[in-house]
Amino acid sequence: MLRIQEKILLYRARKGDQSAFARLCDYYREKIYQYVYFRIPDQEKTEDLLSEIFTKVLDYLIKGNEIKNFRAFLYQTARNIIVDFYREKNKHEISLDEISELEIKEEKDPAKEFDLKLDLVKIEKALRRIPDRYREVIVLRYINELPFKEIAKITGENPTSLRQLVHRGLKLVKKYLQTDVTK
Amino acid sequence: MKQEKEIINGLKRLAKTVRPDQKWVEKNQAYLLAYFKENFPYQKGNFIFYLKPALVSLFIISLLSIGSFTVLAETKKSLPGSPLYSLKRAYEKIILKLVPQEEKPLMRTEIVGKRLEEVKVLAQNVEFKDSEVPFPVKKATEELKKEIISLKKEIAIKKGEKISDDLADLPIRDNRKIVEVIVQEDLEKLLAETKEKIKEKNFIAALEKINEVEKILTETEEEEVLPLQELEEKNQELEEKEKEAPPLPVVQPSLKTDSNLEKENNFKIDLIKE
Repeated sequence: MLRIQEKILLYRARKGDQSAFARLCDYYREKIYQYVYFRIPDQEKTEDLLSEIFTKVLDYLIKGNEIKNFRAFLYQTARNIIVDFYREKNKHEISLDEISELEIKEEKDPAKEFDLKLDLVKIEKALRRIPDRYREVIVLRYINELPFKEIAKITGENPTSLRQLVHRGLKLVKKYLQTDVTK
Repeated sequence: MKQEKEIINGLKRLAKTVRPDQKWVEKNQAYLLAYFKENFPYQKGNFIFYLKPALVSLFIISLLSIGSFTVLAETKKSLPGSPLYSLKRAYEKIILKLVPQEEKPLMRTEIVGKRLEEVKVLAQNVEFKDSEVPFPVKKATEELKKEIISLKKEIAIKKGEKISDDLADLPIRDNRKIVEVIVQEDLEKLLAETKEKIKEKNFIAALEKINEVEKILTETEEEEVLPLQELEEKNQELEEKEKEAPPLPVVQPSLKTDSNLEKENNFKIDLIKE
């Protein structure tokens, strides 16, 4: 969807055009679903959280507030709801400092090279094992296919840090995939 | 690095498999629309809301149209030397090309009328210095002559005649006189009559009228018009020459006999010799 199209739909939604709002929701629904799905451990909760996200956005519009970048606003709302979810569930996250202490030993033996083209389930498992901070950026970059500039607006991080997070996250995914294979 | 690429490809393929359930999507959509309607009533019958973009576009189009009409109006009034004048001439050329062959003489007559009008306005407004014709007036006069030739050709074609460019350059001795001649009301009247004849498809009469126009314009060619001072000087020179030259002998008429005839012939020869 072009930015101008989005702006027109937003304008119409603010003026009370429900079909315009419906169109915006349809366009972003799948992407936001994927974002929430990979970020929370409880997959059943994804649909509930998604409803909550869109309702919150709608409330914001009903109050007459202006949204300049609908996509960024939608993701930021999703982030906040996920944080609230974690706070409620009191989930434990591994901090970045803890990660740096882990020894990520790369497999040097060519004989033990594994074929990553197989199991998408294994990739998903490995993705869910890495810390949320890395996972979030990897999901936004490779699953939602957003540019680093856009991710920076959503997360508040600068593009250089984001690239580092992606690189570290992918290293961990690779490590977990390798340990999975060797089991 | 290669393995990282494979992981990335794996993630992209994974994305395609993760989608919300279609039934849930429909349910969610209905819920959101109901919520919207409840809290944000739909403005029914407010067709102006939808007309707004159309109204804005219409407004812009009308502004552009008014702008172009203004420019067109100014172009029609423009005179030689104005930046819009070339646009005016180009417009006339285009119209001439688009007009059917039958109506071309009439169109040309109108163009001649316009050229005449331009000369008239310029002659009235431009300042004459030392009896010299200002360049814009000169140029306008040239253009008028060209248009008259074109018109004559056009009418002649209708009559089935061939016309050469015989409207020669007028001798520019006393430029003021030429300008006065061109601005004459007679010329305007003749042009109007030419137009009438063309409308009636009486091309013979139209050609005659144009010939009269040509005559008016070429009148000054026949008379050698000099400024007064020069005339006086020339007269003086002629008088002096006459004084110096001996008078011609007076020849008495005689009966024409053979001998007389011979003498006459000899006399003529003598005269020639002298």
